Amino acid sequence: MPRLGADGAPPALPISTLLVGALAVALGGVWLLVSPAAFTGYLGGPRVVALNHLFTLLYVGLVFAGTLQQLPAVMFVTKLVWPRLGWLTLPLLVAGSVLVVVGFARGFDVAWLVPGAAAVSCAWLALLVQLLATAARRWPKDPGSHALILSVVFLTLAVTLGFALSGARASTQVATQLGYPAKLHFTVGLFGAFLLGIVGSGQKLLSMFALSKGGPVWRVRYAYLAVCAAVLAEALTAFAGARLTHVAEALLGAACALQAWEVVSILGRRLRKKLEAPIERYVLAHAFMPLAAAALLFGQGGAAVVLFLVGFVGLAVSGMLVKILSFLTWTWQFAGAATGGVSGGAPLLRDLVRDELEPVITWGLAVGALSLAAGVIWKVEALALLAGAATVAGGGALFAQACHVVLTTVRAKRRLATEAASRAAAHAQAGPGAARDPGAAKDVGA
Amino acid sequence: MAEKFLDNRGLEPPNPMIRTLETLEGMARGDVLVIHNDRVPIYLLPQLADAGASYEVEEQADGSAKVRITKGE
Repeated sequence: MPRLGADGAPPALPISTLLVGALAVALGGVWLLVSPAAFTGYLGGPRVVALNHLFTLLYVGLVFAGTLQQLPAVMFVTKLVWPRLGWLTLPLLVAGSVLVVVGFARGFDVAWLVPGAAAVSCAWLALLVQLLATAARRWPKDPGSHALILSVVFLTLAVTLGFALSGARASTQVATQLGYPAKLHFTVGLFGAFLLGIVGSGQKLLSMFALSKGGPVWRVRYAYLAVCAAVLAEALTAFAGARLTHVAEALLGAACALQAWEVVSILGRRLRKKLEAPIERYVLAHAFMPLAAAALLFGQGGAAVVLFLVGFVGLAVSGMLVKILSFLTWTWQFAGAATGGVSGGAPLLRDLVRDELEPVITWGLAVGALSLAAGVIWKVEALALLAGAATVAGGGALFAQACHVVLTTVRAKRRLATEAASRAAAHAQAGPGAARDPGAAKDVGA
Repeated sequence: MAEKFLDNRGLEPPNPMIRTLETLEGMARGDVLVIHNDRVPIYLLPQLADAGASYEVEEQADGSAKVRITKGE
């Protein structure tokens, strides 16, 4: 049955990807819970790096990949090219990411890392080509869309650099040619990909969910220009021997400040005064950026990364995940072309979400990030343990919420179909002279 | 009952959605708003359901879509 306005990928693709992404947070929490000592010592050890990649590739990366199967069609007002490409790229992403995580956990085992990184790189390269081909159909003029496209360019670059790093571990020849640009990999991934992804998609989605009227967008443009300049500075540092690390850090700080300013500006123009809980979480996430900056200023680089990645990125992505999933499943089930797009009988968006899970997600992930950062600073195992327990609670609630949204929507559609079939049967039994039930035909699909 | 028309074509998302919902808010129950968008406003439909409005979507041959929205409660 064709869907109304079916411009994105088949909905099962992004929905299943978002569900796996949510599950990854809970699994990360369990991992942290069973090995808290890893975070109180050297942060470059196998378990910490493995957990970091579980979070970045299997949670944030998959949510980004799932979102890219639907959002570009809406943002660029066109149709997604090769809408079934995700059936190839998304399993490749999951399998490759698992190989990378296991490879790190096994003590940087290149037999796992190299094929895993290659699979992830191929998948992201294909997703980037798909995004660029979609954008080429109707090239967007707004900076939010430009930031989104750039974020995928940087994400592809980050995973390709990761592949190169795994190659450098496997081959001295590659290592000699390339060096070991781990800092560049880190900057490109954390800021180029994740910050710009949140800047670009967040600007559109927050405006949409908070019903915020259009306003000046120069902050978004300057934010992505600052990130691009920072990546260039890091690249010159890594490959040309320039000493521009502090310049890059200042530019990234400016980009973060512009993003926070943009969020405040969008909220100031909004028509919807009461924000929904997932949107509040997205907004709250921005409070972690100054905390990360403060940690960096006090020489606590490890804690700064935790606050930025788990706090800011983790919370922001979890907020958008719940909202995007609600819209996706609703339109999947209730925007059927069979009814000609006639409304009636569909559940309300707010009824798809279990309200009591939202504070658990927000505070679980927030306390997890704060206590993990504190554990890293003061090297206290109990704080890392607390972080694990809080992340299990927050991640578990996020996965439960995601499952609830999907199941509630599917069940509502089935119930409506059953009710409509019952009415139709009763009508047929009553005979041709019986009064026609006008709702019977409508309720099946809309 | 009043009927209004909004041509949202050419506007960058999410402006068509915001413009539609803002206009709808200023209308009385039973009033009709017809919008014309570049594509089917897929993310607007659940928002309309949440706002208690009913709608009918008519996809046009050029890929654009007209939506007839009746304001409810």
